[in-house]
Amino acid sequence: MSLLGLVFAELRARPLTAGLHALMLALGVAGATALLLFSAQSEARLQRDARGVDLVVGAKGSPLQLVLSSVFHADIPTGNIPMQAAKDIIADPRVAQGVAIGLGDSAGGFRIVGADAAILRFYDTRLAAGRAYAAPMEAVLGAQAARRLGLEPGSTFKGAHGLGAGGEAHGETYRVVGVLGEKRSVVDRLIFTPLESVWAVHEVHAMQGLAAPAPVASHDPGEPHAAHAEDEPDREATAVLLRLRSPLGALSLRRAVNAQSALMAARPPDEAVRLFQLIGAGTQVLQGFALTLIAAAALSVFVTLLAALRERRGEVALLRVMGATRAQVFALLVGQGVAIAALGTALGLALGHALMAGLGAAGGRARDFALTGAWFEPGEIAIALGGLAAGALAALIPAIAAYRVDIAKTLAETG
Amino acid sequence: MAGLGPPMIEVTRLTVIRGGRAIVSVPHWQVETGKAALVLGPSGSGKTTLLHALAGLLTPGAGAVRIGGRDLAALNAAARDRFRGATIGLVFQTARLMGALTVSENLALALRLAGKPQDSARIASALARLDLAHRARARPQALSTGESQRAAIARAVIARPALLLADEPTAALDDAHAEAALALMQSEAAAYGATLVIATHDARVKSKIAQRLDLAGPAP
Repeated sequence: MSLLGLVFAELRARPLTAGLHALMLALGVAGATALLLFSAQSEARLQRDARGVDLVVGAKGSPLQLVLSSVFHADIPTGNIPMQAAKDIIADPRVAQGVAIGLGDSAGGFRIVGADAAILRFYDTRLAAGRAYAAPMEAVLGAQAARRLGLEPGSTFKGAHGLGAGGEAHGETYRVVGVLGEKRSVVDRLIFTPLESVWAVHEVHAMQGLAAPAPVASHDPGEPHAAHAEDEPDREATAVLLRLRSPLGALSLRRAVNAQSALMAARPPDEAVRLFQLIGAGTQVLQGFALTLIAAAALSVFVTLLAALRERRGEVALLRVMGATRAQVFALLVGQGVAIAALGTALGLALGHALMAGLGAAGGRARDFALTGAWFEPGEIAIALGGLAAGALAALIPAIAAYRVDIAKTLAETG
Repeated sequence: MAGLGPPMIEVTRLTVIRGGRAIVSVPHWQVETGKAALVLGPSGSGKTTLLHALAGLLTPGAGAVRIGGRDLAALNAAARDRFRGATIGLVFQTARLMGALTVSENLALALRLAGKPQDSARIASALARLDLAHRARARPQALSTGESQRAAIARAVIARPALLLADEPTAALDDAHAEAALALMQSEAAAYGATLVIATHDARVKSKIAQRLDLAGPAP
């Protein structure tokens, strides 16, 4: 029977108390872990989705909205820009690669992106089946979109107004000619088609008198189409995605674009940071709540150990009589705190991952962004050490009290 | 074994002071190795305090306590703790077993703290000698008074200490259990050549051991 064995024996003798303390700590650790995993997975997703896009140019408005809508495909666009302006920017010598995109429609909740087939190279995609599109109304689907919609080369589908699910269906039919391999990025959730398809769909609507822009029930007034032939004689695009030859070129081009009255350029990494600052405030509140839970658990461990020490100081004195040194008695008490903390921390980490797995399973069906429990962050080591430190800290004062026990006096008092 | 080395206990001009007054004063007292002795005196005479001083659980105000020739005051606190664990076994008026441990685990812990290797055969043998083999896995709360005191004696002797100190070990026991406990301590001490010192004011014990130290108690 070692002192470590005695630590566990003491915990086994009071399973309910030890279990409740461990559970309380576990809830705090689970919260902190889940928030860490959520933040890390969100950040990684944004980084993956923005990879290769140095600059986005679109209509004047919120830069964050422009990046969210055109790079992360998570918001409505800021407006449209003349196609000629898009072509001029792509032709700029500072631009290594550029592609104009047209947004506004979707199919089964997956966004239809009108763009030259060069966008498939821009995103460094590979075809898992079929070929790239070569004519209007042909479409190439991201892997997840194809899987969810049950489409494959040769299949057809109808687009709908608006960028979310439930929009008013167009009469025109798209034909799937290719399906992309899994990219584990936003590309998996997109449907690519020539920009001409987007223009054609809306020209037909205009001719049929179906595409009155604002009043169309399923078409959000805030969601401008890439082109409304009835509104403007020239073609339009929603945004231009750019890869620049140099970071310096990105800065100067952004300055030059932003100097124009109708256009705006934004850097996805900057907007991602801005987005995280916005999300960060909420995350910090939740982190604070998780830390409060951990602190409360540590406090309850402290109170229990102190009360247990008062109850059992005769046993502490006995240990000293049997030859335990002050240091060993101190270590025994700290060990009890750490053992409870270790149990709670391990349980909390497992719960945190289980929570993410649960959210992933639930959200995977409803949303595109699937969280996963099978994700490990170095920050979890800090959480684990923090949990153990909380236990050790909680046991510190009881341990010091045990260290200072006057054996003879205690034996007399506890006869 | 007597006479071959220093006495097991040698107390010289010992004074223990509490609250500004002398609780125990012993000019000189010694017990040879392997012998048994009683410390007698009325309640409050300082019997327990003397035993604590012999075990190094308190620091005397004056004088010296030597156990097996070692001056306890010359040892630092940790060394004194280890020396106590390895050399001295204590039995109290109540059993004072660790409530979270089984009887055999209590004995195993005593072995560990004495710096002795874990020896389940020795534990089993000690429990069998004290008629506790069937209670090896029982927790202290489940033991009768007699079983508890036997378990406490087993714990005190499991590491085969050179000195066995017992503080009123029979005070809470009926005649039969008192006699059995005393006999057990004497036989266990004899089996390992340990020196036995019993502090008591129990008349049932006084006749069993010849050597004695009478403490008069503090002056009124």
